[in-house]
Amino acid sequence: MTAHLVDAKGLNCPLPILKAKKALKDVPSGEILEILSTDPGSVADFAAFCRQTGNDLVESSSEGEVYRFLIKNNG
Amino acid sequence: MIDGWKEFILADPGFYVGWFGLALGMLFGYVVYQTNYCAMGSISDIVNFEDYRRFRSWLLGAAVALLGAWGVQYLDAVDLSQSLYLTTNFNWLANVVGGLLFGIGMVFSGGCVSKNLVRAGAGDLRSLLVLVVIGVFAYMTIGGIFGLLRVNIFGPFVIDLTDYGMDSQSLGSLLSAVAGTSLPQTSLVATALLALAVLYYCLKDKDFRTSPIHLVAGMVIGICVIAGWFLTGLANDEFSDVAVAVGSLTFVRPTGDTLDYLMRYTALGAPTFGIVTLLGTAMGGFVAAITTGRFHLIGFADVEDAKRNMFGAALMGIGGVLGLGCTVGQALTGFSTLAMGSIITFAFIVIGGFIGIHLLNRILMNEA
Repeated sequence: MTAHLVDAKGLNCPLPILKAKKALKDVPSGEILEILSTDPGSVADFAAFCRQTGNDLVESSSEGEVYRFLIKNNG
Repeated sequence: MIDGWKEFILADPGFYVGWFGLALGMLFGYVVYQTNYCAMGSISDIVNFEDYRRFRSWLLGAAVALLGAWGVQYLDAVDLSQSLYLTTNFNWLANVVGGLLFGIGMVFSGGCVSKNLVRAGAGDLRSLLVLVVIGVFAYMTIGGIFGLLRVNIFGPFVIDLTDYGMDSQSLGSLLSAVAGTSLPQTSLVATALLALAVLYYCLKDKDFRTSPIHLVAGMVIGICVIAGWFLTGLANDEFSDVAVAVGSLTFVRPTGDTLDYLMRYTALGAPTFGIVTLLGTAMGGFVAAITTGRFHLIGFADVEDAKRNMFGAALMGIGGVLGLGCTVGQALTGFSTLAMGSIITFAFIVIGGFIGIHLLNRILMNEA
């Protein structure tokens, strides 16, 4: 369990990205943000987000209809 | 060869347009789902993390469609001047306002019409309701409660291009009238230059060039648009028992048409190309979701989510009718005819998308 969590379950693009971007501002450098989403498009979205922003996508997994992403803030 | 194909299709245009159109829609929907192709998402990528690959994929589709539409017309498979995009009534203000409304709406509904179709096929019940609202608002704007208002507001701004010696609203026709050059040659030069400029913009970026998924998405979707022109062009014959309008992929009006068709099936004949491609797109999303194990029934997250989606759907229904199309109907199909109205709507859908993302972000920032 991470200390920083964005629960974007049930929300469509672009809300999971917008919420994660907002939450990352409060995550200290080196710490992990956990995001939960049910939008299948968020798998590609968070991969692209981390690729562009220089943050690490530590984990991208799914369980049932819920996708879980762990992003390490490198900012 | 084209004459042979035309004869083949015209033997039973309702049957061939129906089944080939369904297959075309399925291919389109499958590719949209598998490649995460999304016009709204492409704008979100730019605003939120400066990734231009999906936007370039959209533009690549437009360039491929533009070149292909010229090609099928050159082969005499289709007469693009028969399409609704090239009318001489140039309603520029409706293109501007419609594009803006549609662009804002697609952000609030989590994607444009085609994205919601694919998502509905993948089990998203929100998207199903979004589509119903789009269809109802589209019909309300065409000839329903907003119909007279639309005509009264936008009618006075319509420019009759025949007054300026133009026989259509294609960019080629405009340049030909201004420069006094021949229309076919001017159209060819305009098509080639515009397509080359767009292709150059797309392919100059190494990230895009080296991303097969974005390249494939743009190319296949562009080819789907060409296939639509080809099929409806062959099936269009004034002496045929079944009237097939010349066109290609477009989704706003067909969303309303599909609702109408489903409710009055026994009173109507064969489904139109727009209806079958729309249903095919949802089926393509269904097949892709099932085969990847991602089919899940999803509802609204909460009341706020429902409000956002309904608001966006209403804007898309109204905007899509005013602007005569969507991110596919105008930005790809209409654009491929070089229609000035399509180019304007395309540009303002993009601008509306940027405004929508900023509005949504502001709403989010104001939340506790």
